[in-house]
Amino acid sequence: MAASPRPAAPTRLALLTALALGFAALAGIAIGTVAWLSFPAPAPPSSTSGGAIWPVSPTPEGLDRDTAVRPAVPAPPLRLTDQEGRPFDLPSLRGRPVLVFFGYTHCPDVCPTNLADVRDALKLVDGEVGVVFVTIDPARDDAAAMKQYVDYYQAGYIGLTGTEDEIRAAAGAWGVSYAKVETGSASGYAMAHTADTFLVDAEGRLRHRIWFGAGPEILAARVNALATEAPATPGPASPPATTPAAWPPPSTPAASTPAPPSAGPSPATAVRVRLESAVVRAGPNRIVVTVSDPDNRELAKPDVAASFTFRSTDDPALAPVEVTGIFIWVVRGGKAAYVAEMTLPRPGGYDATITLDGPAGRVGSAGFTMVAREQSPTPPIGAMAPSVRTPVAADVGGNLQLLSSDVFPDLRFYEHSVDELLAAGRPFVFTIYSPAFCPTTACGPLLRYMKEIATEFPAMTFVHAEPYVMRDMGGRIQPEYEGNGYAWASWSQAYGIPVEPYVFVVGADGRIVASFELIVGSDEIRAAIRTATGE
Amino acid sequence: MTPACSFARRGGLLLAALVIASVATGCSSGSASIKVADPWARASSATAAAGAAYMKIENAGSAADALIGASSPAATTVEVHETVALGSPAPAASGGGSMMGMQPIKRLEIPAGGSVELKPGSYHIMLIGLKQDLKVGDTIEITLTFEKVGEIKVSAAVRES
Repeated sequence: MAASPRPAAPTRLALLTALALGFAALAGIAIGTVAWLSFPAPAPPSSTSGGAIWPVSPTPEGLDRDTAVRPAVPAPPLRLTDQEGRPFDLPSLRGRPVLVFFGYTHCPDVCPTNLADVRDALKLVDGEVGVVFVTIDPARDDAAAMKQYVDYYQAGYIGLTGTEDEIRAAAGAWGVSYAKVETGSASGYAMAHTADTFLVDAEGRLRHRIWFGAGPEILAARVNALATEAPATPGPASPPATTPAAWPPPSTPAASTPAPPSAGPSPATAVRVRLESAVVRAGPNRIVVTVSDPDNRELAKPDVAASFTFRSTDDPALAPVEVTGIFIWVVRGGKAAYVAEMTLPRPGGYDATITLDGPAGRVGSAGFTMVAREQSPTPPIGAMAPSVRTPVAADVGGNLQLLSSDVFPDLRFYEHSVDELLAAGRPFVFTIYSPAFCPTTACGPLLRYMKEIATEFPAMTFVHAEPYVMRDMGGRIQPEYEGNGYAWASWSQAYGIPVEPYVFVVGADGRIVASFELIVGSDEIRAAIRTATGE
Repeated sequence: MTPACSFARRGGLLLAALVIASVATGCSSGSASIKVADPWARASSATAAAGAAYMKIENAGSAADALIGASSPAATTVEVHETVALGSPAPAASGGGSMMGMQPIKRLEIPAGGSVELKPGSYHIMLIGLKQDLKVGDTIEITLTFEKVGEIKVSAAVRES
């Protein structure tokens, strides 16, 4: 059985290099049907100490679901090899919309479904549309295999392959995750992969990312919507001036070759910025961004300063908010990020800019947009922490492997339930995180760092809970599936978290002192603990 | 599987695309009655590494049954697989979905009085090592093996989607 509580190192590496807040499943896959791991029935939600419960709002499905990529950035490169063995890149299809999706030829269900959906969608579309299928299994899919596969569906479809490195870079740039999974099937290994379909417009801009299973009608609707747009204004009316820095303007023939070939003092690097935070709200905020160059090389460094500017697009008269970014490691010595702490004056859209300055001068800058919500799904700073029963060691006879997907679960994190600590008036740090199954690129060795911090603060109590409903697969636990992903556990729902990891620091009065989404620096947690304990 | 419930019915009825098999006796916990509706296979080239077939399996009986295996003259090996979403859905305003993976299913329970649909993006019969092109209009025979009612043969029509 392929289940392993930890991804193989290369998989983790691939996931970390993947730029997107991807959906990288890690580790093993549930096999068969095994009994549920049952925690003691959670106590009735003891009326949550007066704190409100923020429900997780369901994602709208169907035609109404927002699939737009904002701003409409030039599509990442696809410098790969086509099914005839010729070099390919996306600009060769300029002038028509293009549907791009990733998969592999040994894929019996998902990829044929995607290909059939695309083929059926194009029956509902007038005009020429390019179709590009990119393998994430280059070990088995050479150009000949791709040719057989795509030609079967429709002459004219393009099938791309490349070296392992080329495929990894391309997938990473598109925010596509994949992992080899040994299933024990007679067909050999399977590839788990992001199966979204990407829509690139005729000008070469990435416009939509459409979930697997959306079906032909939705795909066709998104393609047809491009045709009805006013010409030449497909994106926001005035895209942030810095955005094109990420890629050459679409009209540049040598698309996606930002660096000049000559040596010498290199001008500003093309910066690709990604807003990692899922929750942005009016008022005090802590957002995290990651930055890389077009080849996915990390640009966040301890000696590179980041400055942020946020301009309200709904009220341009408001003075822009300017803050200096805080550098944090996601993985010490490896992946890093910048945190911006600022107060947004109003809900609505913001055009943001990040500018990087290193010891040798300006590194570059890039723009991104974000929408500040009136209210956040998670309880705000100062709100009462929801009182929830979280599983403790005593529930499982001390067998921590049934509580945590951590390879080395630490008893200190499973001694007390959140409701118990709130009732006792004890401050605590509540980490909701799945070391083995965290699906985003924000996942670092968070729990390992948290154990170090727990040792530094013996008076503080630490609680860890898996974010998902877990089931016992015979001594090891794995998440239960629900709808389009893992099933959120009751405590995750009570805290309204839309992603993991999340860390809440709660004071002795039961109020939330700080909350950290996705990426958090150890020093940020230390500072919040000092606040919570009044040190 | 208790001996009392392992009574297997060999053969089974083939009635166009609608098959009913039932076991009325031999199992103390009631009987399973399995019906397979609308079996179909996706058109595929024989050069494809694997094909897929889909259907709805209904159990009108008072006892649960389970699909535990399958075979077909059209493929070297036939397995039951499930496509699963891995990881949570995309954050914020992203139209993307989870990473999709696949797992073999050794035992697919068909609850008493319930049904399980094998459909794209979910459970499917995986046809490994196709011996022939699956051409639209053809039918292929698939033998499903259930824990209680035994083997049921179905004819799956080959369709595009």
